[in-house]
Amino acid sequence: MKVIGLAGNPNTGKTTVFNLLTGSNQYVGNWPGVTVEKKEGFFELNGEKIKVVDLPGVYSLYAYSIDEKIARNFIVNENPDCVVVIVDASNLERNLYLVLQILELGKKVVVALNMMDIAKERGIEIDHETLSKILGVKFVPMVASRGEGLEELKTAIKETMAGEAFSFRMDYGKLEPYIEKLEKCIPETSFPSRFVAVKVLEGDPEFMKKTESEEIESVIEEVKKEIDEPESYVTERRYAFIHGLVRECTRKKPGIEDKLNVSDMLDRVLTHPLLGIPLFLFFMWLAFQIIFKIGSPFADILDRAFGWFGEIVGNALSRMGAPYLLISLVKEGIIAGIGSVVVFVPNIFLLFLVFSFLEDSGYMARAAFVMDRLMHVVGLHGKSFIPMLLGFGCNVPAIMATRTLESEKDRILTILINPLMSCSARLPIYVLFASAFFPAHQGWVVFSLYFLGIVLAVLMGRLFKNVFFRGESPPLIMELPPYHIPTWRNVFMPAWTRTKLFLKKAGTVIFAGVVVIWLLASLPPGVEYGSEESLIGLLGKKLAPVLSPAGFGFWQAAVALIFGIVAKEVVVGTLGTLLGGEEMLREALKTHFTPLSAYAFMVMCLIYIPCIASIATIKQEAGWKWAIFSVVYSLVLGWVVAVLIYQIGKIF
Amino acid sequence: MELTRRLEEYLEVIFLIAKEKRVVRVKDLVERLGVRAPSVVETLRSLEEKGLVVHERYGHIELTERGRKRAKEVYKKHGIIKEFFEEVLKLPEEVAERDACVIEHYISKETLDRLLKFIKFIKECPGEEPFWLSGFQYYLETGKKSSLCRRTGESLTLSDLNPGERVRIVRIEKKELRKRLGTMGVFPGVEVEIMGKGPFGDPIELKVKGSKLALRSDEANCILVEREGT
Repeated sequence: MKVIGLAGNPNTGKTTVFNLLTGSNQYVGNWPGVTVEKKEGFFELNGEKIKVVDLPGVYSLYAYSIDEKIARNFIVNENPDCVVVIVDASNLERNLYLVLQILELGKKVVVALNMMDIAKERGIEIDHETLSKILGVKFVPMVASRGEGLEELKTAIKETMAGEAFSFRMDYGKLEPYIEKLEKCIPETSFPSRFVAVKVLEGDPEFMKKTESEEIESVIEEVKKEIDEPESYVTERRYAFIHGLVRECTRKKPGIEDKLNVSDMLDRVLTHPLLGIPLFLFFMWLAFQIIFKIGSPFADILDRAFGWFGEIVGNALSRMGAPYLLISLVKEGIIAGIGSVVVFVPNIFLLFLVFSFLEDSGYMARAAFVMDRLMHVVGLHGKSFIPMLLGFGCNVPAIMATRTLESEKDRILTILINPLMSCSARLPIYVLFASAFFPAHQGWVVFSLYFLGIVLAVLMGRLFKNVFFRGESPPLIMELPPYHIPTWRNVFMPAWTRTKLFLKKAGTVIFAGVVVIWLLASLPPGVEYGSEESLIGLLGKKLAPVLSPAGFGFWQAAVALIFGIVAKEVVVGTLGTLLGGEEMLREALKTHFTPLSAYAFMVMCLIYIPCIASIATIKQEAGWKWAIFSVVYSLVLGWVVAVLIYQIGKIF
Repeated sequence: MELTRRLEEYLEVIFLIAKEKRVVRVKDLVERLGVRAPSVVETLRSLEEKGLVVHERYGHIELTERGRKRAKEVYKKHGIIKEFFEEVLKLPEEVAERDACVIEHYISKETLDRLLKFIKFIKECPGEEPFWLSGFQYYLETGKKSSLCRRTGESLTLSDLNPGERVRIVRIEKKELRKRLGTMGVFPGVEVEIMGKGPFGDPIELKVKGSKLALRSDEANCILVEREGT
């Protein structure tokens, strides 16, 4: 199968083009073992199925961040049949910088000149044919948000794949003789030697390491005698070339340029020094209202539907004379297990919908902007705020989102405190307990838990920063893309693929967890389901004394917490199975918990051990050492805070 | 003639008290130095033996000509050190005074000379106070590097500007930053407009060639700019 890669700067409408090409025929890569959110999709071109890989948005191929490394390694090592570079036509100079570097890799390239409408608004006319002639690759004008230019793009891809790769040669002026020398002494890599030579002159850390030799060092020394800063010289040469190119191929209508556009006016308000943060908090509040006010009725319907279905199947089985154990497995294990997963879909889908909306509208970057100063307090920067925010949805994609941070210190720090952002899987626990014990103040109780998580994240962030990651914070350079009204497709598609990812994870891990509980609760054979004599009961009894200072020192709570490690929402299911079915659960809880110990229990659920999926992701991103550390510290912290709350609360 | 630290201190104190009150008694020394009378008397005896002080039993204490000269020397040292602490290191007066009192008796002549020359050098620098010294004060107060730490006092950086100003980039310090900004289209010669500042004055929002970027003031501080038409 032929493969094409989509490359481009961030915010050039790359995702829009991806969605346009693939429609609903796309999926997000499975998180274990996969780099950044790797989106892949398929489309048909003259009856031939073609795979499209959406590469991370980057500004250059200099290995500054993991994203950049991924993009360039994909282009070189996976050797796609065609690379489509999406370019923002209204910002041609900066975008061409990446195009040039991709061209230098000597692959088959098509450039999509996206956002032609915005360019026109700004009075920029682009002669794409001359651009094509000079650079030797096809330039296709597009307005991806309206679907314009799609057919032309497909045609260009087809023609380019059929043709030969054009090897573009950038003239680096005074550096040329040195590039030649370097090419001779550079060890063979999968990259073109000229590309590597230029990257070495640019001081690319990855290539510097790979090509370390005295010979190369002496050439660099020589260069530095003639040119002070070779890396700046390279940048200058490229921009000088681009500048000439743009002057030749674009015309600007005078007079339109300096008008304040809508984005600027919005930014006056949204990034206002005083209004910025309150507005941001308001939007967050609004987001949570949407997620819960709209989502919960649907969740209730699903909940009831599964209960009803379980009854029907159970009755049918018993009429057929199935053994008790089987009926129990199907009803309490399988159907209840699937149900406990599916019930969260409405809330989670809405959450992802809201975040996709914020991302696509351009507001997410502003949120990072206004929050930067505050994040600085924790020793992180505004960009870390986005993974933290995503953590409210699910810590797994959130931890993966930390890859956009350049500095490893920042990444690990953000990963470590991320599980303190209360993910959506913990919500059912809060909802259950809050509705049972604090029916009049549910909203406030849930909010207080989220808030506690944030406060702890700040404190832990500071602590870890001072203990593990002393030293300066890396620079913050962040683009604030123009605002635009998100298209339904751009909001819906990512929300849906992320929800699918959740369902997949839920469908396997959580379902397995529920079945394992059922087994542990039913074994050894002959014991009453989930009783004290079952395996699970014995385990819980051993642990209960440790939990009693926190007010929930009974074996059912201990068991629920153990299984909460599988996935936090399993806590609810476990309590349900151990204390009595879904309907009676609220009543049953009241006999075991006081409002105070219920709160302490919720706090424990907030903090203790990230779920299996999160631990796996932390291991993947930061290694075993940090994954284990994360488990240990959260367990200790959760216990300490729960005990403090219970003991202090008892005084009043 | 070598004097111990204690004897030097006595000479200086007698000199100072004499300047204030004309007459100096054992009681004054007891008060000023916080020691007991018998030990004052004993020290005075040893100063008398060296011919630096005249002290009649139960009477006034007076410095001899040589004693006065010696005391003045010590006092001058004190002045130089105190001035260095106060003017250059920007320490509060009490601290400068207290530490000068201790150091003056130990400091070598060479170091003292150098301090003296350094202070003279600063004072004679054209203008009021050298820019880097103001920069140092700013650094002490805020913990941040000041834009005044540049080669010339007048260099303008992005962080010095107000929203609405348009400037041209002259130079970007720090290699990583230069490269990073370069890939985003920000390099010397490019025009930049300050769009606004975030809550608490940080980060700074810029417009470069139609696209907007956010930078922290730490980074903005490394970007030297000039106003249009200069």
